[in-house]
Amino acid sequence: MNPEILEGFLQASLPMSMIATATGSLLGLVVGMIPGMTISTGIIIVLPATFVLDPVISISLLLGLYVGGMMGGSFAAVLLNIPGTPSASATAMDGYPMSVRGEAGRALGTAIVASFIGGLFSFCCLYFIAPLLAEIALQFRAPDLFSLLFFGLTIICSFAAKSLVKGLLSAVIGLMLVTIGQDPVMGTARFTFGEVNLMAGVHFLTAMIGLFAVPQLVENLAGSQKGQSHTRTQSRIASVLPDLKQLLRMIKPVSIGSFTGSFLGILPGVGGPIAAFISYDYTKKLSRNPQDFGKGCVEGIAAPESANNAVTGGALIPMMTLGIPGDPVTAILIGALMIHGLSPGPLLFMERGDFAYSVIFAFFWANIFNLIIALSAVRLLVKLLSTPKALLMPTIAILCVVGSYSLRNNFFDVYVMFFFGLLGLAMRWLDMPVVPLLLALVLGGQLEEHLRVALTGSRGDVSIFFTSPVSLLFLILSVFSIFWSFYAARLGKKSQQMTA
Amino acid sequence: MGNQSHMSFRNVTAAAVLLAVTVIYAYLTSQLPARTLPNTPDPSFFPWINTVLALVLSGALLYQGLFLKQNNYPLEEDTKSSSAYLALAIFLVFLIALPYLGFILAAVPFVAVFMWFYGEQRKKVLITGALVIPVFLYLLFRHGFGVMLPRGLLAGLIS
Repeated sequence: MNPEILEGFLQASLPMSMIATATGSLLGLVVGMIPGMTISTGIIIVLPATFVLDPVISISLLLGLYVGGMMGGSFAAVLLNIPGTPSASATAMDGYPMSVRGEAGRALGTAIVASFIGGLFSFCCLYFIAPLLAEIALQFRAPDLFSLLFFGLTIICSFAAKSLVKGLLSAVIGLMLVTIGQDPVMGTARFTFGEVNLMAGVHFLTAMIGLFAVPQLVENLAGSQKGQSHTRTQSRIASVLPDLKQLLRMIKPVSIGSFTGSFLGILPGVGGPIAAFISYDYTKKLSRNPQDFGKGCVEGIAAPESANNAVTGGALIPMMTLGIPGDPVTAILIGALMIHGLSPGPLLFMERGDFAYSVIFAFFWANIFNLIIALSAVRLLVKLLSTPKALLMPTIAILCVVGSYSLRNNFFDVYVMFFFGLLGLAMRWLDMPVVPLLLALVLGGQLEEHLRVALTGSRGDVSIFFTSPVSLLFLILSVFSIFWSFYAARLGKKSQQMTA
Repeated sequence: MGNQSHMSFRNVTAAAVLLAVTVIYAYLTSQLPARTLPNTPDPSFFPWINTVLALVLSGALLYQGLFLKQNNYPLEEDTKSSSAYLALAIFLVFLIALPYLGFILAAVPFVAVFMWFYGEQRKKVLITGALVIPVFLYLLFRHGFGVMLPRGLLAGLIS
C-alpha cells in the first residue's frame, strides 16, 4: 500500500480529527435542516475557527459540515415540506406525503440511509478517480490549464443561471474584481487607488461571506415579518431504521442516484439540486409503478437523497485534482486550505499526498458519523427546527463580521464584506447568480496567469491554445456548454409557448 | 406580465450601471503602467479582455431589457421592505462603530435591535440575548481561537 494512503488515513482517524468530523456533521445536520440556513452559511459560522486549527482538523470539520448539511436538508423537506437546502427540493415531493400519512420516521430513515450510501459511493469515486486525474493533470501545460479553467467558468455560467447573459456577466464582474491588487505575473499594482489593503486584492472568503450571508439575513428578515419567525413540526417520528423490504426497494433508486450524483458532482456548477431532480426523474421513468411517485414512495426519497449526497464526493474530485471548485462549499474549502498554505490541484497529491488522502478519508468518516448521528439523534435534531430566528440571525450577522475580520485582523475586510453583501442583494434583485462571480474570484487569478504565461511562451501566438489537443478539447467543451445553454433556453421557451 | 415588465426595468437599469462601471474600468485600465518586456502581455492585457467582455454582455443585457420578451419564471422575492433597508443601515452603523467602541459595546445594542427586528418582543429575552451572544462570541474567539477582536472603550476593563 502507498504509505501516503496509510498516513492520510491515520491523520484523518486521529481523535481530534474524528471529533472535528463528528462536530461538523452535527452542525451540518442542524444547519441543513433549518429552512433559511444554507450549508454555505453554516460554513461561514465555523470558518473563523478553522483559521487557527490544524489543516487536517479544519478540513475534517468543514467536510463533516458539508456532508451533514446535505443530509440535514431532507429533514425539513420531509417534515415541513420546506427543503432545508435547495438540494432537498426533490425529496419533499415524496417525503412530505409520507410524513402526512404518519410515516415520517420511515421517510427520514430512507433519506438517511440513501444519503449514506450515496456519500459512500462518491467516496469510492473520489478515492479511485482523484489520484488518477491528478496524475493526468500534472501533464497539463499553461495553455491546457487556461482552457480548463475557462471551461470550468463557462460550464458554471451555463448551469448556474436562468439567463446565460446574466451568468456570464456575473463571472465577468468577478474577473474584473480579481484584477484589483498586484498582477500575478509582474506584480504591478492595479486598481488599488493607493490603498495598501487592496494590494493583496479582494480575498474571496470575505467576498463569499458578504455575497451569501448578508442577502440571507435580509431575506430571513422579510420572512420573519410575515410571521415565519420559527417553524414547528407536529409529525411524530416512530421507527427510523428501514426494514429489509424497504432496503430492497431502495437498491435501484440508490444505484441511479449514487451514480448520477457522483458523475454530475464532478461537473462544476451542476450541484445537488440538478442531480437530485435528474435521479428522481430517471428512477420514476424506470420504475414499474411510476404513478406512486409524488404520493409518498420510498424510491422517490431514496433517489434524490443518494444523488445529492453523492454530489459532495464528486465535487471534491475537481477541487482536489484541478483546483476547480464545483460549488460555493468547495470554493470555501479551497480558501480554507489556502489559509494554511496548501493549494488544491494536481501538485497537492505529489507534494502533500498524505494530506490529500487525509481529506479523502475525512470525507469517509464524515459519511459514517453522519449516519450514526442522524439515526441516533433524529428525534432530538428535529426539535431544533423550531430554533427562533431572532437568536440565530443576529448571531450569524456577528459571525460574518468576526469571520471577515479574522482573515487578516483587519477592519478593511469587514467593509469589503459589507460591500459584497450589497452587491449580492443587487444581484438577487436582478436575478443574477452569485456563484459564477464567486468562482471567478477563485479562479480568475490563475486564469490570467496561465493565459499570460502561455502567450509569453508562444511569443504572443494565440494558436497555441488550438494546437494543444487538451486545450482544444476544453475550448470545444466550453463552446458546447455555451451553445447548449442557449439551446436549452430556447427549448424552455418553446415548451412554455406550447403549454400557454 | 408584471414580472416581465419588472424584469425588463431591472435589466435595463443593471445594464446602464454596468456600462457606466465598465467605462470607468476601461479608463482606469488605460492608465495602467505599460511594461516593455519583449513578447510579454502587459498588466493591462487581462483587464482589457474583461472590458470588452463586460461591454458586450452589458450591451446584450440592455438589448434583452429593451427588446426581448422576458422569460416568465418567477422572480426572487422582493426584499424592498423598509425594515430590511433599516436593518442594513444598522448593520453599517455597527460596522463603523466597531473599531471605536470595541466588539462588546458595539455588538450588544446591535444584537438587541436585530433580535427585535426578527420578531423578538420579550424584554427579558432581548436583554439576555443581547448580552450573552456578544460576550460568548467575544470570549470564544478572543480566548478560544486567538482572534484579536477589538476591545475598544473596554480596553482597560477586559482582557
